This record gives sequence, structure tokens and C-alpha cells, in this order.
Amino acid sequence: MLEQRARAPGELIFNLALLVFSLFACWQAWRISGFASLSSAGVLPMIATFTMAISALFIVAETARARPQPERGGLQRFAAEVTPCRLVIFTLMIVGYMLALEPAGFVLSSFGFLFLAMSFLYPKGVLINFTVSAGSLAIIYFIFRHVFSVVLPRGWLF
Amino acid sequence: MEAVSYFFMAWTDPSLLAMVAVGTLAGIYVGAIPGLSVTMAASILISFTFKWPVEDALALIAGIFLGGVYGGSRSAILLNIPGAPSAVATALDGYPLAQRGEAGSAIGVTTVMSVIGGFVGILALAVAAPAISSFALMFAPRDYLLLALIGILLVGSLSGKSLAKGIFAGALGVTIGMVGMDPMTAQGRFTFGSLNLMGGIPYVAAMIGFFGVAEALYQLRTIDLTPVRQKVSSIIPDWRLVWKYLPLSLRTSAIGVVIGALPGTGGDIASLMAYDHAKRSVKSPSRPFGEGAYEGLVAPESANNAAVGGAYIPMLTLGIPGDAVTAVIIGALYIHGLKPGPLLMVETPHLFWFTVGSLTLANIFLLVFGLTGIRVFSKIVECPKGVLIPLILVLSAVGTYAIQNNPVDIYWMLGFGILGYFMKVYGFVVAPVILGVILGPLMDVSYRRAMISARGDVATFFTEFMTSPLSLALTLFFLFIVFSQTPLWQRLTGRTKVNVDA
Repeated sequence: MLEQRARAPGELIFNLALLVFSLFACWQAWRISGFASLSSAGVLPMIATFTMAISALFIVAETARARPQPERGGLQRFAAEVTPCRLVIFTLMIVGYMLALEPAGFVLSSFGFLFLAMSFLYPKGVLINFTVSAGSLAIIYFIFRHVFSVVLPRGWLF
Repeated sequence: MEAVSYFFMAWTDPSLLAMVAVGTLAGIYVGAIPGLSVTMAASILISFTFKWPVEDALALIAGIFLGGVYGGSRSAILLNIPGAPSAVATALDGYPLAQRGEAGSAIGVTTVMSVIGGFVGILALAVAAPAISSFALMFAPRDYLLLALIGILLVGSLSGKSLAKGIFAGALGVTIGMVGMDPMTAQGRFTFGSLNLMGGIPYVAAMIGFFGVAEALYQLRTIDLTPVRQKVSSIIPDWRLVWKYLPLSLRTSAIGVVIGALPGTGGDIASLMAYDHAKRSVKSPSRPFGEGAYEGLVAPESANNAAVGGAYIPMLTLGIPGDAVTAVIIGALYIHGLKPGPLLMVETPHLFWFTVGSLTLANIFLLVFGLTGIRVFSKIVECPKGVLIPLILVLSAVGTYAIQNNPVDIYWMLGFGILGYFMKVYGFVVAPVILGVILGPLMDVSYRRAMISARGDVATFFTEFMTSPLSLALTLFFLFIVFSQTPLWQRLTGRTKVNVDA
């Protein structure tokens, strides 16, 4: 007999969310032009979102059949295995970086992000992290600004 | 004669020559560093090359593609971590060889076999593409619809553990590709009245989000793992082994070309199928498979590099990506104002021969770079992920911003990155999403043209799929793929499908 697959923490909720999203997308696709004609703008969106909804239904059924998680400690397991603290903090750093990119400009925001992220993920001392961040940023800036001629966001200082 | 001059264009122009060389070298390292994929590198790079002449961009990407597919084998042999999905099979026998102290010989044989595979793929591209292209001019819109469906379905079904998840990912991609103004009626679709959404979701943001950010976030889970390293001082190909395994290399290269040329399937599937072929066909391997058999190296490495040339065939002739990287290259061609498909070969034949020439040149550079620089290589591959991941994020953000100088695109990228992360964690593959984004608009236009030509009559629409021999063949192939994924088929054949995590 085949061993039953274990359900990952949060998997059922994620797949249910995909199903709900698919149904919402189906409704939105129907609103484009309804069933006005078989070659209207809304037909392929309806087919695509309907396919999403049906496959999401199968996925939810597959997940529901999988071996469930122990009843207790589900949230802790989700936090430990799917969204570990390191991931959450790093994602928040990315959000901060993206928000700072326009007002502070590419150089300042990227340096701040690289220095903080490297210090967090690869803590080898302030001096080493500072040097690696500044050095790699200088290379990126030179290559993309001067070799690739990419327009980089300019802030109030740079 | 013109074709010859276009073929050698990259060989004679110093800047193009440098582009191919830099691309190949960068591709080898990008492919070799676990956590950096060729698709990621190509998707970030195309956003930087949109201001360049198209030849420069194509030369760079050709090098990255060929180098990246090969580079994955290095870390598979030395670290037991495939640097790319196409090197999964290589690790099975490559790492045991390294443990036996034969890493140098293994890398040497791998390099030569990859180059042989690469040449077979390029030759197939040069011979088959012009013929397919002239044939493709006869394709009706319904045939394009079928090809696009086959592409999404193949990549969805072959590259994941669950068919439903593959189909969902493909359909999600198509839906993302539908956002914005309808190209035929200018009607808004999924725009929620927002002007920002009328132009659609930039597919570069989706590509970088799904392949760059999601992968970087996913790599955080294994940031503490320290791979077991193997010492290797020099790379020496044993030419007796190369000669001995040449027939196997040519056979598996042919598998690679065919699998690579199928819409939606790339080097990852090709290498696994070639490995499977070697296991079945080689009666007395040098050592048992899985314990350091050279046959287990030769087969996947020849196939995955041959698949590169194969993947270019549907991309250049039909505008259908052969795999995720060619989906990204199609995006690059669109950015440069070109429309991949049969007319590309008619209107800009020089680009085709230029691409063939660049790939050939990249294959030669692969041999040179592949057999040298092992010490530098070891240092770069061991670059800590804690340094690498923040750098990927900065490159991803700049790459996304560079396309339209619009900060909203970066938020899209992050959103797709987070969604992609959860999808990867829960066993979805993200490659079909990108295929869907690229192929969605093509499917939309093809379907509606086919329906209009059937005057809106459903019966005529479906009958047309049966009356033309080409449409009938494609329909049967499509139905076969669907049927082959059912439990009934698996029970009939008594086989389980090849799985690989992309």
C-alpha cells in the first residue's frame, strides 16, 4: 500500500484561498462581457479562470485526502516550517527597501538594504558587512548605470 | 551566402564576440551556484538589455542559456546540489564519482559531452527550423491555440508531482496575461477601473517575481546547510572515455533535441529521460548506475545541452517557447519590437542565422571555459547565500524598475515573489505560470480568430479541428497528453511519470 502524503502546515488554507480567488476571478471574467458571444473579450478569461477553479477544487480535494497535521501546534509548525522568523524579517526588509527606493534613491536605499540584510543573514562583523555591501553596490552601480545605461531611481541626495 | 555572413556576425564583431564570451562565462557560474537559475538570470538580464541592439541581447542570452545549462552539472558533481533543474540526473552518478576522487575526470567528460550535445542541438536547429518555419506559415489560428495549450499542459504535467497543480499554474499565468486592455476590442479586462491596470501587468515583473524573488525567499529555508565539498585540482577529460561513450552521447543528444523542441519541455525533462534511456539501454555500465557510472553522466549532460538548440526551434519558428528560458527570451524579443513566429524567419532571417552562429560560438566558449578556471570556480560557487540573496533582490528590483521606471512594477514583482514562494512550498511549479503569461494573449487571439472564421458556430469550430490533417494530429496529441495523465493510463502502462521539482 502507498504511504499517504503528509499535509504541510497551512497547505489546506492556502489551497482554499486559491479556490476562493479562482471563483472571484471567474466572476470578474464573467463581468467582462458575459456570454454575449463566443468570440467576445471575456471568453478566454472565463475559460482560464474556470480551469483555475476546477483545478483548485481538485487540489483542495487532494490536500484534504492527505494525512492531516496533529491538531495541536499547527500555527507554531506553520511559523517554523513555512514562514520562519528569518523569512518574515527579510521580507519586511524587502518591503522597506522598495518603499525607500524612490524617496531615498537607488544608492542609499540599496546600500541600507544590503548592509542590513547581509548583517542579518551573514553576520561576520560590521566592517566586513560594510565592505561587502559597499563593494558589491559599487560594482552593480557601475555595471548597470554606465555599462547597461539603466536609469536608476534618484532620491533627494543621489 | 547571406546566411553564412549572418552566421559569422558574432564571430567577427569584437563587441558581439565579447557578449557571447561574457554570457557563457556568466552562465556557467550562474548555473553552478545553487539558488541561481538560468531562468532567473535571463529574466533579470532582459530587463537591462532592452535599450541595446537586439543582436547584443540575443548574443548575451545565447551564452547564458548554453553556459547555464552546463554550469548546473558542476555543483551537482562537486557539491551534490544540482545548480539547475536540468542537472538533477547528473548528481546521481556525478557526486559518487567525485567521492571516488574522480571529480576532475567527471567534469572533463561532462564538459566534452555537453559540447557534443550542444552541437547536435544547434545542428538540429539549423536544419529543422527553416523547414518548420515555412510549414508553419500554413498554420491556422486553431493550430496555434492547440500548440499553446499543449505547451502549457506539457510543462504543467511533466514538471510537477500533481497535474491539477500544473494546470492551475498554467491557467493562473493565462489569467495574468489577460489583465489589461483587450487587443481586439480595447475593452478592459480585470482592470477594476484602474488606469494602471489598463496597460496590463508587466510580464517582466511576473518573471522576475516568480523566478527571482520567489527562489531567493525559498533559498532562505536552506541557508544554514553547508554542502560537502570535494577537492579537485584540474579538469582532465579522458579522451578514451569520450570516444567510448560517443554513441551514447549522440543517442541521448537526439532525445534532448526532441524533448527540447516539444513546446513546454526543456532540459530538465530531457536529462531525466536520457538518464532513464541509458539505464535501460546500457547492459554493462562502467559501474552500477547511482554509484558513479560514467554513462549516468554522459546521458543527461548530452541531452540537456542538446535541448537548448531544440528549445529554440518552436520559439523561433512558431513563437511558442520550448521551455521557461525560451519563454523569457520571447519576452526579450517582444521588448525589442520583434514578433517571434513564422514571419520572424521571413522578415528577419538574419536574426535566425545570427542566433545559430551565437549558439555555436557559445558552445566553443563552453569548451574553453569548461576545462579551465576550476580554482576560481570553487571560490565563487561557495559564495555564502547570506551575501547572494540580498544581491539577487537588489538586481531583481533594479531589473523590474528599469523597464518602465515605474515603482508600481516593483510591488507587482514582490507580490508575485511572495505568491511564488508559497506555491513552491506547497508543491506547485512556477514555470507554467510564465508560459501562461506569454502564451495567454496568443491563445486569446488564436481562439477568437478561429471562432470568427467558424462564424461563431460551435459545431463548425470543433469540426475544423478534425478536417485539417495538422489540426487533427495536434488535437490527438493534446488528447493523448491529457489521457496519459489519468490514473487509467498509468494503470494500463504500469508506469509512473517522471517527476522533477522545477
